[in-house]
Amino acid sequence: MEHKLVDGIMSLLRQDGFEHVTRQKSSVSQTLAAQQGDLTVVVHISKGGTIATSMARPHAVQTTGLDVAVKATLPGLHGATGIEALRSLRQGGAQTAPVSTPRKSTQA
Amino acid sequence: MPTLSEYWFQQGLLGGPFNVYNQPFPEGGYAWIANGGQSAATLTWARPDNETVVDLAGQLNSQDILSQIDKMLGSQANRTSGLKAQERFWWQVPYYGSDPSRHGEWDTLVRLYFDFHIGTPWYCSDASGDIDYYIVVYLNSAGHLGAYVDGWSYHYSGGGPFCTGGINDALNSAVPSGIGPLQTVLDTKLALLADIKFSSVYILPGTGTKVPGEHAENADNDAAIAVVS
Repeated sequence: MEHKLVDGIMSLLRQDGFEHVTRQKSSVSQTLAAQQGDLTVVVHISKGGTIATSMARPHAVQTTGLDVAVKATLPGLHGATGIEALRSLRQGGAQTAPVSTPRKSTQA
Repeated sequence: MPTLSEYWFQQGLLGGPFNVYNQPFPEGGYAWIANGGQSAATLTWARPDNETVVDLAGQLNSQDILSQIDKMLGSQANRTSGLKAQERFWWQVPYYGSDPSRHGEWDTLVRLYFDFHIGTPWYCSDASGDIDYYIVVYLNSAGHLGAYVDGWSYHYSGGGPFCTGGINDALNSAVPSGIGPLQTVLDTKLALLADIKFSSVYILPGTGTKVPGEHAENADNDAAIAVVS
């Protein structure tokens, strides 16, 4: 994120005798900090909104061409998913070896 | 000799502290395990004699692998734990919502993760959290064991009030870049079993020990790949 306003503020602070002027840039914000004796200044300009502190992404290309016949699973589980379903589980499962119904991955 | 393994989870299925009791029994025979304590969830496995177990945390916490992680993080973050493993149902994986049909609802993935800390300028709080990779474990049509990195995530607290944007930029670059090296590590480790044909695969909480008797472990810290030939 670029912002001419920050450049202007930095110049003003230096002209006014502030030291240790630093600028941190990110894709969504810029933060300017400076000190003059006991006085500190922080100027933060952002694109707005709350920035999440978590991220999760599937890996798009990893499975291409893989021969996936059977994935690890807990056999026999069924029903709705979610923590409430898990709390109410009274289920059992079994499977014979070899696994009777191997399935191919459907991922691109 | 087959083993009956019973797991008692204190907090919930496949998570947190648990106790496991292993009871060997003769082929075609019976076994029983009694428990007088309380638990939030239990899991029982009848484990055949020809089961092979790969303890993930035990295998992956070598100095060369940890050095690779540190290299990936560079100066942007510090690793503050060893590599940990946890069994997760597909619907528990944080990117499940982006494509629920990607796996079966009750397929289980391995969450490989470690804790990190990021120092920040004086006007922000430091950030601490975890970086996670999700691994699909599978058998191919010839019965050979494989695993691939299915996705990644991170979560942290701190970094406020002004530094989360920069932290996210750093993590969004560094975390996906770890997929390739991690895949190489998985391929190398599983190559030891490449010539063996297996009929089934599953993931066990903890080290996957079959040593008779009771053991106390933590399902948040370790998981084991089990295959039956």
